Amino acid sequence: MKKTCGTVLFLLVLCVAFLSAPFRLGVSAAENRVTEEEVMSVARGIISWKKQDVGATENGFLINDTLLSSAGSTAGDWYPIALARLGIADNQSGYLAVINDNVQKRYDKNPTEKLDRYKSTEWHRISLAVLACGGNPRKAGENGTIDLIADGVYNRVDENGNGILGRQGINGFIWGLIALDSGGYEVPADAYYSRESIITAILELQLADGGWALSGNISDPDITAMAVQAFAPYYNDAAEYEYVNRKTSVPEKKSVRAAADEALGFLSAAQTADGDYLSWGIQNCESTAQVTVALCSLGIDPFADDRFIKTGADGMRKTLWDGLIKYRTESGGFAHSFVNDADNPTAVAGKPNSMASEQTLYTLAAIVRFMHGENSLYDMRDVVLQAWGEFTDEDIAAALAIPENPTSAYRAVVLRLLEKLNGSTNDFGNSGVIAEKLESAKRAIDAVLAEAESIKAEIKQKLYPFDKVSLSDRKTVYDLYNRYSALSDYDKTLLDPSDAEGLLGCKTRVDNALTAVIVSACVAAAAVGVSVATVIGIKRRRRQKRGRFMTESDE
Amino acid sequence: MKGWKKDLIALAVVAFLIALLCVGTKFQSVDDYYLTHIDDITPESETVFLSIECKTVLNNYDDLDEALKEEKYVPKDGVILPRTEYVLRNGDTVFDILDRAVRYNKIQMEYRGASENAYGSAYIRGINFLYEFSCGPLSGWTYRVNGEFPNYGCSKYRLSDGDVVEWLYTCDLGRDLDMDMYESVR
Repeated sequence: MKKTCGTVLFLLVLCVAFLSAPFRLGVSAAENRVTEEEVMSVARGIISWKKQDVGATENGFLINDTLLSSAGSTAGDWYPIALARLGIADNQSGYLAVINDNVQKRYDKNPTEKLDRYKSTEWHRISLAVLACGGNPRKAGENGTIDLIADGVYNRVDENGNGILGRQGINGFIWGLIALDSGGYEVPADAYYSRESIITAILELQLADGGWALSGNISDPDITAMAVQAFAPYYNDAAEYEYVNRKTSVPEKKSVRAAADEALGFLSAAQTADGDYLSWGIQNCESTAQVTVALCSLGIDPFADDRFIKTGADGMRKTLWDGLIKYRTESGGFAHSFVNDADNPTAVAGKPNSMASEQTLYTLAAIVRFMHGENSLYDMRDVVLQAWGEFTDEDIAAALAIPENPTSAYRAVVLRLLEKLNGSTNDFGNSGVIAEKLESAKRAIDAVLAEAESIKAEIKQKLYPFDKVSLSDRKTVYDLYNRYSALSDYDKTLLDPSDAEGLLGCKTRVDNALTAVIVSACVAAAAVGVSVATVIGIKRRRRQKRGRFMTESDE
Repeated sequence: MKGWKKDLIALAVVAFLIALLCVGTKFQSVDDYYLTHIDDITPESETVFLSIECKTVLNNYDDLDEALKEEKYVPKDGVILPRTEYVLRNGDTVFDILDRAVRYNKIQMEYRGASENAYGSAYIRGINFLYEFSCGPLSGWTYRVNGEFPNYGCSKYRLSDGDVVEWLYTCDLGRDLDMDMYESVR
């Protein structure tokens, strides 16, 4: 009996072992490889999750109007980059049209600070998105007059001519270098920064443990991995740089390769037994993603290099793939972390998160590119400029369907069709009419956007604090209210809820004040009327009394 | 006899109308009253406290953007808005209170909406022209509620009655903000 029990138990344990890891037992490390199909299937899962997140249909484009409304921001740009680098055709042309128009508007609105006063990475991320979508970051904006690479990288100076690429910290140098090399752009001899000066600036900030950090002296895996990504194009360059390390004040002489190897040493040591990484004390998805991208960009097999294979608590070998895939949720999206952080109730264990999902998505692109031996994730010299193709009957129908006075809801479609029409090769009968229609629609939409901006600014300027609004402001309030009412329901949402609330509050206040004046006047008139009538009545009666008295006395 | 009775009534009417004029003639519907008095503090209203300070800039003045080295941007005492009481509306977040406070006090504020960043929350870029990175690479706006720094976006933090919200400018990712500075008003 005892023996049977033992045998059953043994078999059970064996079964469980087989069930939990059927491909790992008895299979050598070399055979236990992540396949391209596996990677692409994980990618499709993320895309499908994100489609739900932005309200796109499963068969429609991920780059829908919701995602397009984030064009040129951190919430939007990484998805089109990831899609394009995965080779998945989506609405990249629409994204390119909208992001170019957004860049133009931001430059127009703020000609000195342009995209941002301090944040250089705005230029870098947008450059990468433009390039990935088949555009030219050196000819961005409405008429291709904006050079994002010059403005955002090598000639990034303030009004006094001081270099401000690193004003926001080391991120500025790292992403500046990535943007510069993404298209292999030449730096003119008279530029403020050179490739060498940016590389030196990064080297100067290397910490004693071989990595980099946003601040302090303890390396952070994310920043370290990003620095390695930026250094990747120079990994085989023997050139040595001489500089004084700003963290240790020690003079150093180092090649990029030596620095990157030190960084890999740090990253190898920092990898956990699960195969993932800690950042700010928390095991998370994004750090693991960045390290994977870094290895792929150096041409190192991210899942086979001994430095990045650990033994898990279960005794199994753990690679970066295990470290990454553990954050996949049932929905297909990726979670930031599985640690419940009391201070951060939004990062619930297992809950998919946009940033973790987008970073994983482009990491998958980096992995597939490495498998194919293609250009790395950010080496976009292989991108073919957007070919717009024919302006089809569907495009014509879409253009004709745009109403005479379009709301800003039509912005994305108008911009995309306009770009396509300008870039298309075919000639068709009423192309002039279509062009005129799209141009006028764009003007109308720009006017609506400008009007909404102006109403917002005037509400803030003229009406607040609105307990001081009185009847004398009636004209101002009514002018603004009428302008607001003239907007379509869709365009009204361009205002903040508090703008509309403030305006309606003021109008009510003014209306009530006017009612009060009218009612007061009526009451006062009534009082005067009654008084006058009474006085006349008294006088009349006195007269009558006197008359009667006189008649009586006559008798 | 009948005459002066009439006069008395008339006099009463006039007195009533004059009284009416003196008392005031704010005839408002309930909706109108609600709309224009929503932020009035009454004994029944739930309230929160809000202040905006940039004291850390005073200790890092060398790092401050040259263009901002003026008292109208960085007040001498570092106080942009002293602790002020605001009505707490149902569902108000830290962002809502800040948005209302800067409007009422005509303080410049710029934010990125929840759709424009990956955190799914509004992100405060600048208040009173002090922006992220205005005073060094680790500078920017952060907030604490009742002395604690929540680790998530201000438009996700729902407030309760009596909460004390402080918007604070940091020049060192929050490490320069001394927790002891907080004092309870409850």
